Parts: sequence; structure tokens; C-alpha cells
Amino acid sequence: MSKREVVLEARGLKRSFQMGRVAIDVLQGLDLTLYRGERVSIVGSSGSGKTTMINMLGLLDKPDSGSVALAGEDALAASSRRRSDMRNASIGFIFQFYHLVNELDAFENVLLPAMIGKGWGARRTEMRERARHLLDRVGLADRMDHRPQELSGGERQRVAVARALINEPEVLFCDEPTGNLDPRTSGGVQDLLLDLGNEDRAMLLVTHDERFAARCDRMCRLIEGRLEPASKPAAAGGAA
Amino acid sequence: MYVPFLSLRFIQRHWLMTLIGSFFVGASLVVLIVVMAVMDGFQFKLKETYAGSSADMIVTPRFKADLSKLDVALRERLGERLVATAPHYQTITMVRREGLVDPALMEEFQVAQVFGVDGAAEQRVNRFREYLHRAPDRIDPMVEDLDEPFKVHDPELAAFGFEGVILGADLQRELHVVRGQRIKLFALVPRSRKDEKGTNVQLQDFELRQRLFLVLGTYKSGNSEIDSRSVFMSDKTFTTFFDAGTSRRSIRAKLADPDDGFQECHDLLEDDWFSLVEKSLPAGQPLPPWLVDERPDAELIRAFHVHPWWEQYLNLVRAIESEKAMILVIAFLIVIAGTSSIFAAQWLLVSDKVREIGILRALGAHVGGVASIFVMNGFLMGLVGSAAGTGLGLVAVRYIDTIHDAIRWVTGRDPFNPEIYLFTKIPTRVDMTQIGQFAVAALICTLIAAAIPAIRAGFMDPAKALHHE
Ligand SMILES: Nc1ncnc2c1ncn2[C@@H]1O[C@H](COP(=O)(O)OP(=O)(O)O)[C@@H](O)[C@H]1O
Ligand SMILES: [Mg+2]
Repeated sequence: MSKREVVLEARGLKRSFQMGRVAIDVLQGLDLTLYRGERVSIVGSSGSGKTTMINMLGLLDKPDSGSVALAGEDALAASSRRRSDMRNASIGFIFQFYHLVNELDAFENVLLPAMIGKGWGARRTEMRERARHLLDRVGLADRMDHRPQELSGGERQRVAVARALINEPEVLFCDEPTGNLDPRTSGGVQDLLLDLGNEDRAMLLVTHDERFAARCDRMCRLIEGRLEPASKPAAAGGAA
Repeated sequence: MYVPFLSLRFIQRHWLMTLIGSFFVGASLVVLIVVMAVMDGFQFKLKETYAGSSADMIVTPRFKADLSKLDVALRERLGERLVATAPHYQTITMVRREGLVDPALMEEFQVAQVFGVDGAAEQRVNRFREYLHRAPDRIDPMVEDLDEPFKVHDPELAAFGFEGVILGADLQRELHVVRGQRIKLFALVPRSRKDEKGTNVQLQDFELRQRLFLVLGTYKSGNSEIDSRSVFMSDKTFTTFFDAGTSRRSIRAKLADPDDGFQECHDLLEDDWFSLVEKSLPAGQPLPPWLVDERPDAELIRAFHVHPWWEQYLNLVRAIESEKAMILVIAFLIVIAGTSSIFAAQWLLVSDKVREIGILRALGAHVGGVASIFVMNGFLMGLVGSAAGTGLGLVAVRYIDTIHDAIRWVTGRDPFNPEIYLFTKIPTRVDMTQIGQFAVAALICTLIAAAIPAIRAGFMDPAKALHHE
């Protein structure tokens, strides 16, 4: 890692929400740089704006001011179509509540981003093979034709992980991925994510769980709408 | 590619909602198809009864012509274009029942339109024979002898010089007479047409004639307007009892091409109308003076009124057309109501699938892509509904009498009384082009209905949609 490649760069992000007469300033000039191969964790109290931040960085919402560049491309200047394409090709999301499409089975859920993406027709067989491989990798090879309702929370989140990886994104955003899981299941998903995040992409992990956060390469704290570096608890740092 | 895939999956997983959406589209199409088919059927039957009691072409001279000579002249001029011709006399008078009567019955006068026709020739020009023959409740003819309908078969009555009439079914019922009973007709006949100086006759010069006629049978076209006024007698009887000069006398013809032949025949007659006048004048009769004066620039209409049967019923035909247009509008409103079920179904689905919409947008689906999924859903619902509705509609029209029987059996009421109509079956007419247009229109309506929730889905804020509860 001699030359560190910037995958995502956010500068001076501000976002406030108007609640009746009161404006809540959630993000107040947030800066963040994510490098390839880096795993960054962000902790912060509930309501501190972690999800709002991911919405901005993941191109789901626009900040009031500031800039977001994904692989060098100015994401805020891009058209809605282009932003959609960028989400599809370069970003993977993992949400607290899995957010699988209930009408589709596990295999179809994993394949969905590939079907939405460009060049599906030509890469069909390849992508199907890849989806099968990913499901195998998250340990669900035998559950491919099960629908989300037939899977446990941990299994659903594994499907979501496979789905996030199908298009080989540059950045992986995980918004409290273990927040809805019991400790045992959580451990498995944590290992899986850290393992996958270790590969050739950047991972941004938002979590309540300080021990989980400490297993990442870098740890930040979201306070008063800004990111501050946080020191890892000594015990957990060794475990990573 | 993901659009049809997701659309199909949504339909598959929410099949009940899909079915309900399609059901209303289909049901409304069934209503539309059945209503229009019955409406068209009635219209056609009604036209048929008017045409069936009249003729394709009616030529009425405006001068004192010899009808048999006119007949010959017409055949000569029009040749193959004429299939058959028949003389026709027509006048208005009053009719009353006669003979031994139930004192409880009224003996009022009825207005009668009397037709003098050639019993055999008339049958070749229109549906005269059929209307003497058919009735819902009987198989045998309503006259004794269909080939000679005006013949008095009872030798005793014939010896007395009785002549017979055939009464319209409704008039006959009104008069309370049956076959073999008698009615009385009246006629006003001028004593002399003109004095020596050529001035018109005076009122006091009319003679009132009355005569008894034997009821020989019943005429039933199924059109109460015709059946409640008509009295038929032979043209011979007519001319001996009524005054031919004050009656309308025409030659009525059946054309080889009943739809488009009329105009051609009319034009042919117009080209050489004057020789037609000359040929149809009674022997030794000079040309009417007005005709001589105006000859250079007079037109056919001065000497003959040539018209098709429907000219008399133009207002009626137009009224039916506008009524049909009204019903079409109403029925189409039903289709719009039916397709709005698709709107409701899709709106509910979109409201239910906010999170999924957010997910799709997060995974990179475009605004148009998400909207297309829901448009396609609506379109497929519409397609299923239209196809099923068209099919079921056609089946319903085909088995309308069975359905009618079922309705009668369940409700104990009779929505279609064969007593009122001649038709023992509900008349229907299927216009496949029109039905195709209905189906396409229903499909377009469903597309519009589906587009609104689809647009709502497409333009949802992805961040808010994702975290929708
Ligand atoms: N769409 C919105 N409209 C109004 N307020 C919002 C909206 N989204 C987030 N907020 C507010 O912004 C703050 C941060 O929310 P969020 O980013 O979800 O926090 P976290 O994920 O850290 O718990 C909260 O006070 C929340 O009420
Ligand atoms: Mg949150």
C-alpha cells in the first residue's frame, strides 16, 4: 500500500432538516476520505446523523452544501441517471433491516443489481455463476431458492451482503449491519464483512458496537455533525 | 430487463390484487359488449321490421298514372336491377268491430291504415309472407292460405260476396276480433272528380261508404307501430271500395342490391323520367297540363316521388343512432370505472412497496425503470382483463337466452317479454371491429390508470423510501 488510491472523498458536507419551524443541522461540514482497501468504522450516538451521512455518501440524497467525489467523479454535478448508474456500478449497501425484496428468492435478490446494471444481456451466465458463488461464500448455497420470509435475520443479512458484492463495487456502505441481530449471529456477520472488506475495495461501517468498530483499520466518531478520529479500545484492537 | 422480471414477480406474489384489478376491467368490458350487442340487435331488428313491411324502392307517381303500365315501364328501364315489383295502395280510415259482441266490450272506432296489396306479388317485395306466418306461439300460418292470403275460403260467405282483410296483430287485439269475425270499414269517395270546367269538387260531393269485411288472418311484423294500425286487403278490393284518386298509389320494388342499388336506380329514372310519365299514362289520357308547361326544366320529383323505405323513418333511424351513442358513452363510463380498479390496485401496491422502491433505487434503478415496473403491472392486468372480458362478453352474447332464462328463474321476472317483441330470442349483433376497439380502448384506459401510481413510484425520494416504516 505504498500509493494510496482515493475511492471516495467528501468535503464540507452540510445537511439540515426542517422540522416545522426548527431546522435540525444534522451534518455540519463533514469531511471524509476513503482509500482503496481501507475499512473505516464510524460510531456515534443514535440520532447523530450516521444514516444521513450514508445517504449523502451513497448518492441517495444530496447535501445542502459540500462535495462528494466517487472515484474522482463529482457525484453532485451528475444527473439523476448518472447517479443511479454510479450507485449500481460502484456502491454496495448493507442496511440494518436487510432490505431484501420479498417478492424475490435469495438468488434473485443477489442477482438484482446485476440485472439492473448495464450489459446484463451479455453477462447473464457469468453473473448467475457469480451470484451462486457469492451465496456459497456467505454460506447459503443450499438456501438459494428461499424467499426472505423463509430465512432468519442472520441469513437475510448474508443474502444482503452477497447482493452488495455482485457488481464488485468500489465502496461498501454498511449501516448498522448487525444492529438487528443477536450476538451469536452478529459475530458471524461481522467476520464475514471484515473478511470481504479486506479485499480490493473501501468499506465504511456504521455501528453502535464499539468492539466491532474497533476491528476496522480506522475508527471515527460522529459528533455534532463532524467526524473526529477515535482511538480504539486496546483490548479489541489486538483482536483485529 | 429487470422491469418485466420484477413486474411478473410482483404479479405472481400479489396475484389476488392482480385478479381483482383485471376482474373489474373484464367485467366492465362484458357489460359493454353485451349492452352494445343487444342494442345493435334491437336496432337491426327494428330496421328490419320497417324494411320488411316496406320495400327497397318506392315509386309514387304524382299524377293519375296507370300502375300496371308504370310497373312495365319501370321494369323496362331498370331491368335486372329489379328483383320484384308490387302495386301498393294506401289510405287512412276508421275501423270498427261488427257482429255479435260482448256488451261489456267497447265498440269504439280505431284509426286504420289500409293497404291494398297484391297478395302474391307483395310476398316477393318484402317480408309480407313471413309476417303472416310467424308468431312466437304458433307454427302454423296466421292465415288460411299463404299463397292466396285474401281468398275467402268459406263458400257460403264467398257467395255473399264477402271480401277479406288481414289485421295487424295489435289492432286485432284492440278490436277483440278473431279469424272469421267481421269488421266494418268506412270510405269517403268523391261523387265526381271534377266538373266540366275543371274546378275541384266541393265537400258536399263526398259519399260515405261502409262495408263489412271478413277477418282472414293476422299480420305481425313485431313492430307495434305497424301492427297497431295496419289493415291489409287485396288491391282489387281496395280499388273497388276506396277511391283510387284520393289514395296513395305506388309501385314498390325489391332491388337486386338492397344496400347501394337505390341511388343507381334513382339516377337512371331521373335521366329519362319524362318517357316514364308518358308510358304510364292511362290509355287516351293527355299529359297533365302542369307537366307540359314545366317540361323543359322540371325534375323527376315533379312527377314521381322515388324513395327508399328508410326515408319515411329517417327520424326514427336517427333517434336510434343517437340513443346508441348515448348508451355507448354510458357504457364507456363503466369501462373507465372498471379500469380505475387498476388505478386503485396499483396505488395500493405502490403504497405497500415504498421500501422496495427505495431498495431498487439504491441498487441503481432509474426513475423510468421503477415507473415502468408499475406501468407494466397495470398493462398486464389490463391485458388479462381485456382478453378475458372480450372472451366472456362474446360467450355471454352467444348464450344470452340461457342467461336470460337464468335471470327469469332466479328473479321470477322477465326482462325480455316475447309477447312484446316478435323475436322469440333476444336479438344480438356482434360487431367484431367495434369489440376490438372497445378492448383497445380499455387497454389504453388501464395504461393511463396505471401510469399515475407508476409516476408516483418513480419519483419517490430514494432516501426517504428506504427508511419508510
Ligand atoms: N428525512 C428526514 N426528515 C427530518 N428529519 C430527519 C430526516 N432524516 C433524519 N432526520 C433527523 O436527523 C437526525 C439524524 O438522523 P439519522 O441520520 O437517522 O441518525 P442515526 O442514523 O445516526 O441514528 C435525527 O434527529 C432525525 O430525526
Ligand atoms: Mg441510523
